[in-house]
Parts: sequence; C-alpha cells; structure tokens
Amino acid sequence: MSRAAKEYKAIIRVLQEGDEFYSQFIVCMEPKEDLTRWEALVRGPSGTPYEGCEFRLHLLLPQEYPMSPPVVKFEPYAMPHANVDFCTGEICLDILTKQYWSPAWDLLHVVQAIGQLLGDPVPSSPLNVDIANILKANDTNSYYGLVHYYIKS
Amino acid sequence: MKVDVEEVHSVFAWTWHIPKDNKDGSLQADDDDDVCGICRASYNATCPSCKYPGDECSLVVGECNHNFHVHCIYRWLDTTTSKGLCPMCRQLFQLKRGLAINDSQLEKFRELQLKKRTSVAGEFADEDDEEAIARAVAQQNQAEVDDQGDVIMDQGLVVR
Repeated sequence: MSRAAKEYKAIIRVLQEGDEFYSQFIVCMEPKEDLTRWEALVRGPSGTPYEGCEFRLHLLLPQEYPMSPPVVKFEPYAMPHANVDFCTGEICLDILTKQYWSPAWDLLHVVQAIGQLLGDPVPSSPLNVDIANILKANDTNSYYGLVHYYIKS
Repeated sequence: MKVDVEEVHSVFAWTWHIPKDNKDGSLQADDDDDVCGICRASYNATCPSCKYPGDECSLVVGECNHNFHVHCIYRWLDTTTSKGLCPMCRQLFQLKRGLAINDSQLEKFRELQLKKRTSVAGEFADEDDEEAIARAVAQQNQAEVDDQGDVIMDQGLVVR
C-alpha cells in the first residue's frame, strides 16, 4: 500500500499547485478512512452538457493495486452518460479493465481519463443505451436536453 | 602543531549507476527525483516489499530503456494481464543485454519467460506437460540463437 501513500503526496502537491493539466477536470480528490477508498469530484468539461456541474467518483483500490486497476464508479443515479450505468454508476473505460491497465498509470491519470470521457462519449460500447442512441443519431438538442433533465433536477 | 586522530567516522553515499544511451539520446540524464514507474519510489530506495536498499532490491534496465525495481517489474510480468509488456511503453519487456546491473537478474527473468511460455503453450494444446515444456525449451533455445526472431516470436505469443 505504500504506493497509495506516495500517490497521496503527489495528489496533494499537484492539486495545491493548481496544475493546469489536472485541474481542468479534477476539483478535489481525497482518501476516505484509509488509502484504499477514495472520493473525487470531476468537473464537467466546457462545451459539453456537463459544463458547470461537478460529479462525485468513488475509487476503490484492490489489494493487488497497482498490478490491478482501481474500481471506479460514479455516484449511483447521478450520471447520465453513454458509457456509465445510470443505476450503479459503473463506468465502461478500457484502461479500467485488467486487459488494458498498466501499473504506470495512477489515480490522477484515471480521474483525468474519466474527465475526458465526459467530453468524448463512445456510443459504440454503451452502458446507457438511450443516450448512446441519441448520440448515434447526432441529435444534439435531445442529448443536451436529456442530460440536463437528469443533472439539473 | 601536532594533531592526534582519535576517531574516524567514514561516511559514504551510493546511487545505482544507470547507463546512459548516448548514441541515440533516448535516455535522458537521470534526475534525483527519478522514480520507479510501478511503485513510485526512488530508484535508489527500495520497492515496497523490501526494507534495505541495495543489491537485495536492485534496479533493472529494459531493452526499451525503462527502469524498474526488479521486484516491481517481476511482479507485473508474473501477472497474466501484463502479457510480458513494459508498463510504460507496452513493448515487450526484456532486460538490456551487456549491462552489469542486469546480469544477476538474467536467469530469473529467463525462468519467468519460460514459465509464461509454458503456460501459453498449455493453453493452446492439451498435450501432456512434458511435451509442452520441451517445446517451450526448444523455442527458448531457438530464441537465444536468433535475437531478431525472439522478438517476432514473442509478439506472436502476446497478440491481443
């Protein structure tokens, strides 16, 4: 677990310095109880229907971390996105699977990647079929409308 | 003036000598804050499972010029999901030849490679173990004869 401690130090430093690359998406990120459970707030990227909102992420580090990827979920019933299961908050992202994970990545990279996923949904591997279909149909108005309906209510 | 030396305290410092590849300049000068890409601890410190830095917890240099604590990269390559690839660049991870720092680890990594090949061979064929091992050994010998062939063959095995 000492890797998690090293990351904690790095995260505090990076977020305090207001690193441009990371602060674009990451509002805050801190461990809960011990270093195996983390929470992060992701900023909705500008130019997307998520702009102006913040979304809570739950990160769980498995025993084998960093040889296995962290388990990352959005808060349940809070994230309307083509690659997020609305009920569970589960995220479909290749680098979070064992197949594509590399121990060279860390929690900052993961949250950064999820921030980018908000702006670049992949409708071809959906966990939210309704939103994926709207995206496939290029119906921007419905897309914004549906996302806003969920996150602004 | 006469000086009597009563006590001498010798102090020394050490760092790993990381060879620089000056020819193609692909390896940058080593900074003080260079850390292992897997455990994020300094090259000169130990990996998380060791207590004392030094020969017991040494550094290895990959053919791709990425360095790791030997224990960290071994643990990664020992997982099936690693597919034998470097965590940084996703090229096949192999120890750089002809470096003093790698020499003591060559045998260990060869055994790991052999183990992985045996398990891959086992997955594809239901022959008895001995035959699979014999084939893996033959492959290994072939690989040693021809370095170029080694790379190509390994890529064949790790195809996603």
